[in-house]
Amino acid sequence: MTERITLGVPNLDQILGGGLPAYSLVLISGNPGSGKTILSNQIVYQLATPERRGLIITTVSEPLSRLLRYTQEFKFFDPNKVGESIIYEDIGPHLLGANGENAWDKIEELILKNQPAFLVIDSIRAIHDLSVSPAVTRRGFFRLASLLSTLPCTAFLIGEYDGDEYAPTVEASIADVILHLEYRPVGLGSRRIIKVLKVRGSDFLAGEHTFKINSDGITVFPRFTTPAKPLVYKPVTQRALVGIPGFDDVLFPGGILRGTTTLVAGDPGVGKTVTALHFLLNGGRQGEAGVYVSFQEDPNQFATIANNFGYDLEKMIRDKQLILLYNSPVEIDIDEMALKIIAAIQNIQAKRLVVDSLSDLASGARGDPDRFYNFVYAFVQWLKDRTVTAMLTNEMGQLFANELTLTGRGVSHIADNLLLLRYTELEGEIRRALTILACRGSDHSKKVYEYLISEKEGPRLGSPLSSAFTLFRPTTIQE
Amino acid sequence: MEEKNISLLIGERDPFFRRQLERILKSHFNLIFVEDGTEILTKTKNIGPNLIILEALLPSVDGFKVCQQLKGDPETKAIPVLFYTVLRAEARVRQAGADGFLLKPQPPEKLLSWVKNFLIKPESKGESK
Repeated sequence: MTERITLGVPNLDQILGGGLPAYSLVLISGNPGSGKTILSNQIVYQLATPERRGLIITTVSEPLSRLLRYTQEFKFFDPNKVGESIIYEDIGPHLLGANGENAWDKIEELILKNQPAFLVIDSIRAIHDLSVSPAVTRRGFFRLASLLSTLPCTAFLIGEYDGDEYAPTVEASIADVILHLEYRPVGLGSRRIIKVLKVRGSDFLAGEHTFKINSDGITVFPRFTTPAKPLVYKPVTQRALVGIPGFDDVLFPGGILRGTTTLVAGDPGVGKTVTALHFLLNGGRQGEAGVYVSFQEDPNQFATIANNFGYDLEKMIRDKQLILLYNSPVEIDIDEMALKIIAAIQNIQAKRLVVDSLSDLASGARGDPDRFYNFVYAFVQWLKDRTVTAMLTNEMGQLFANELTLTGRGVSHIADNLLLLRYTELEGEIRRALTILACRGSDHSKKVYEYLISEKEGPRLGSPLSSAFTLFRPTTIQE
Repeated sequence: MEEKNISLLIGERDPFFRRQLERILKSHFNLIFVEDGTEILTKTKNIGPNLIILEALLPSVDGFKVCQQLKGDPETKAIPVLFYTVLRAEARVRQAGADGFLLKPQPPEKLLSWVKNFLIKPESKGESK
């Protein structure tokens, strides 16, 4: 099996199927500003040593001085590596003053002279553009590929290619690996995408993955997906106690099955957050660590609510029984969130999770309902596989409506249990009502109950509501 | 010494920066441009310039090594060596024994006064900008 190189770019190895095959010829294509140069430099700065040197050859797409000026802004840049571990060479003059063939001679000369373990040619497109004929270019690429095949060198060719422009090029055909980067406007914001299009003789994680650029360089957020190999489910019989009076005896006798996901859908302000919060913090009281993902309540607001109900939040956090993961709902990315949630779960070996709310998380799919559906499915499977019991809240938009829209995204089918909270009018007052619409693989109450929330004691299940309520007999129930 | 009789040996690979330096310094000094490190070492011995300006990133032998060799040679160590470079590596430049460091790019007046400073006031050796 070919040796794999760990590239030092967070999560890039994962989408490449476990690192880059050593001595590959890699084409990094993408539109201008998509991050190609940063990616190649980040890799070389991570990997190059005085014994395994990097050679960065610039052509005429960007002057070397400009390239260096901006590369130095990144934390991975190390001026001490320049000249010792990383050699910069500029072949611009050879390209500008000749017919293109000279440039290939110069590249060959530089490779043979420096014997690099890592080579970057930035950019290869410029060589195309300045070549007198396609025949010269083709000959040049063939010479380069032939030379590299004789050397222990991993090479990165940078090409400014939009969309599928790279496909018919000679460099695409000689490349062992093709990475395509895109900077794509979405609404008022934008999204950076990386795709692996080819890894010769190896599997990889296909599809679009988000990446971000900050002062650390590039971080990839692999598309969250179900493993190619189906999970082997062990039948779960153990139950997790919710801890809310009435839940573990009346609603879900014995508690909720472990490893299942419960969707708590309901009207705004009806008590979804309070319910999920008690489920999580009661777990803490039983020695089960939990992660609370919130997009609305910041940690201070959350602490105030929890303290009102008598939970010592600071102690739970200190004892590694709780992680509060607050994230603004503005411009989130679902795959980035998935990595954060997974890291938090693994950090404290959490057995309970709350995501409050699913509709906030959905905004991270940037208007792509299929992507969101697939994400939730994969995420629920991940939790199931690790026996993490989860509650996902979701706000229903139409207050007092006769048409129930549970999520609007098809995800209610993914959840194992479906808990519905609604407002109802009773004896001239607005009260809360609760029922279970679904509970996969387990017996559950079919009745509609009043749901009572006291400021000090928290929520509890009330008596069954026997009157005829139109709230739970809607005209239509829609996904 | 008349400014025009002062020779500056400049190691610069980038044609655009060569042009900038020429534009700013030509009317004041006698300029000799070279593009790689080995050539700097040879020319220094041959012409004995009054001052040397280096880009750190030079082909064949980089600016740091050039500077180290010049400063290690009794024949050339007294010649002021200044780095006008794109590389933010002042500590490394100092370690190589250079007399001055200036990050590219700079406005013409600043570049000119910086160079003059090392020619007119040798005691200012060590001042970076």
